[in-house]
Amino acid sequence: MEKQKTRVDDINRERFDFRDADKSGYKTGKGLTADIVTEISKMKNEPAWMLKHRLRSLEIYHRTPLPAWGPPLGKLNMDEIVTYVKPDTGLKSDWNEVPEYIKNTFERLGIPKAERESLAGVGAQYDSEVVYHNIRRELLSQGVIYTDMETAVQEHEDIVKELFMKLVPPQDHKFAALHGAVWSGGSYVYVPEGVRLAIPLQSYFRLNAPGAGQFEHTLIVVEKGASVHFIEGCSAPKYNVLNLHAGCVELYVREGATLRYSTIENWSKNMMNLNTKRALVEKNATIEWISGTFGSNTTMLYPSSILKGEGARSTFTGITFAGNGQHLDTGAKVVHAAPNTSSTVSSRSISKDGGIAVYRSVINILQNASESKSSIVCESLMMDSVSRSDTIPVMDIRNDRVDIGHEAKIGRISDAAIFYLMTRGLPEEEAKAMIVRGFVEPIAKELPLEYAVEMNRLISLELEGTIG
Amino acid sequence: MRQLAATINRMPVNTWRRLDVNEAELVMRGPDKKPGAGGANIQASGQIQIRQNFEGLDFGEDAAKLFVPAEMGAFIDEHTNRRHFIRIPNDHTEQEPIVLAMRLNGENQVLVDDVVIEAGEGSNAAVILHYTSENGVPAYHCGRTRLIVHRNARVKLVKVQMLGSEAAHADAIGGHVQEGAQLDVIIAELGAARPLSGCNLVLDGEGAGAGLDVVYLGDGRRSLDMSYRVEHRGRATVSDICAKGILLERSKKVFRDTLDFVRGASGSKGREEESVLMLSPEVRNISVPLLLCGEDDVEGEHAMTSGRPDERILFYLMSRGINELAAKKLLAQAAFSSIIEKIPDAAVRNEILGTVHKSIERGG
Repeated sequence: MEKQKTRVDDINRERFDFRDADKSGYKTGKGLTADIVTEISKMKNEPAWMLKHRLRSLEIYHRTPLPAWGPPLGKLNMDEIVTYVKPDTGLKSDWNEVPEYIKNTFERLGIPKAERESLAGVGAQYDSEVVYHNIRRELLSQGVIYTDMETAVQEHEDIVKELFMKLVPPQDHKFAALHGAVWSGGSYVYVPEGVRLAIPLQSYFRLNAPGAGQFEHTLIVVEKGASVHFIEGCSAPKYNVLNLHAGCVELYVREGATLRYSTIENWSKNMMNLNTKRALVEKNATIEWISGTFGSNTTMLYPSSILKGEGARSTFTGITFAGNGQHLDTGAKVVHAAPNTSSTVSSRSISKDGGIAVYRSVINILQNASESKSSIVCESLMMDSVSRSDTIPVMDIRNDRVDIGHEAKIGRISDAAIFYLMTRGLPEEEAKAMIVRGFVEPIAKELPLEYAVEMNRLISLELEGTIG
Repeated sequence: MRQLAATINRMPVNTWRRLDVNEAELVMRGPDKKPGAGGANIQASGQIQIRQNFEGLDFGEDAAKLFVPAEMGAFIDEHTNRRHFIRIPNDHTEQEPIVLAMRLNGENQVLVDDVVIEAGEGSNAAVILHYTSENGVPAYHCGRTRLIVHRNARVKLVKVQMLGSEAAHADAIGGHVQEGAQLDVIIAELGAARPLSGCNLVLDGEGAGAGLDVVYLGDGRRSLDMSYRVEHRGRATVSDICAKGILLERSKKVFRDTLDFVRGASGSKGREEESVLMLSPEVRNISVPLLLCGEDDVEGEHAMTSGRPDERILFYLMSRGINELAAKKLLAQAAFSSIIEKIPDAAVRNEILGTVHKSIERGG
């Protein structure tokens, strides 16, 4: 008898796939030249050091080869990408002043509702610029800053100049250099010493223009003893041309501080998502990464934590769902650079209908990181034999006084688990659904409730037949 | 002397280049002319066919090629001074292990060996390849061992490298395992300055099985580079990779192990496990365990642990009157014993443990 297989539906993208007519106020030409980079800087009225940084990054971009590993990137042609698309509005802090069509877009994505109900502040980026930013007044009075990066460059120039692209320098890789040349938009967050935000801040990035790139920069500084939860959401409508996302996130978590950085990424399947995220974690501070990767054609994303201070901690909880036509290469990096540091990585992936899910990671334990601990658990669920699931971890350990554990599993839904649930009275279909939901549960439970519901909705199940 | 430079032990898939693990560089100085045969001693019953050429042998696909670059293959073809074709006849069970002991000394410093083992249908045998060299001799070994394990045969290959700490050593194993057959490979990498070791086993036939057990020892400034892979190609194939390592003093090791389930290998199961005992703050321990999967109906698992001996166990042993050095030796022996016990030769087992104990006395 031929084996029948459990089927997990594709991500339901209906809610994200609508598109607006291109009403951009201004856009650069296609391609990547020094003139275009200078033009972007001029449009933003930037200080001279930033233009210099952009032009230097452009030089580095041109001389840096594409990565010799990971998904194929040959179909990306920068000559066809528009790097800067300015919407026909400026930055607003009153939702009513945002143009109607942009408002409708974010209404459909549920952003204003979320702001009213569960967020301390919201930023909304449409193509290359942030169109709306707002923060609750009581946070302002505590000295919390939450604004777009362009405003930060003007109003907080000293700190931006000190920190901007210092954690992710343009030399890091080709797309970090690209980002350094054409970055636009993004958020700047500053949480003063001792301030603990009880409810999250959220930035939502929407790329509407076809054939365009989005290169937002997020810079967050959480001062000593402070804490914040930052949520990042991303989506775009599907076009027949390739879009590019090469954002950059730099996080500074000072002594005793805590930062939770959550991302639900649901780019359309014409998107190349080549994003870089890095955190510098000081003494007894904590970075918590929550990462859901559902969309895009190709993703290369490995949030990294540099545990610089003694007792620093990092946790990474990620799920990747690769469907037809998707090649999602995700994972995490941790550098243990001080004693008594600890890290945990928990990664899960589902691949189906020819999708390719790759878990890639590196754990570095440096010589001075004695008494450090690291635990990595990686599980991959294969739904059919036309898909792929690869696990490519590296552990580089240079100290003997450490405790390192790594576990990885690949396979399909366990027959024994289904059988067990059925002996407890669950119908077969329900048993399978429960197992798949249970598989993503470690991620879902880390998300705020409304995002957990959203994620469960993203993974709708259609089950048929028996598990073969 | 001719220089051989090649990229070896290339990973089946690449990762970040800056980690410097995607491959290893092999630089060896080869002999100008074909070297002499060197000292070798072969023990086997009269039933076993042994000859010094590969005439008439059709390799078909060569699994060893994955870790033997073309330059190294050509080098071996050209410079081989020990070529052995060992055939175990169909349905024959060889009671005692077939032993090839190869010792390098001042007169015979160079060994380039090329060994093919063919196990006929239903046969059963163990083969031990044992490499040693005199202390202080700049010995040189470059070798390749290929196995063809036919239907329902069982072969155990034990490869023990105990060359002196000045020796150069590069070695690769390739094996094809047919329906219902079982190939167990035990590798002990205990000597040489910068040992390079590779092994690629392909489970071609339905129900084929492979065990790959590795013990390695890093002491002094030894830098080990190892790449091992099992490919599940046939249905219902089973594999188990198990590695136990001890790192002392300023040694370094890169250990890459891969389980590759290709499409069609339904019902297969594979497991890889590595545990590393680190006995010095100056060692460097790099592990790259890959799980590659193109088939859903499989079970693949990997586990790796690394660190110092558990302080509580050390304390317990010392509280029973065992000094720290002896306690460490005991723990090292315990770490290796599950693999060493599988070697069907007591003298070899004792020699391995003796080497480990001496290293711990020096650097533990």
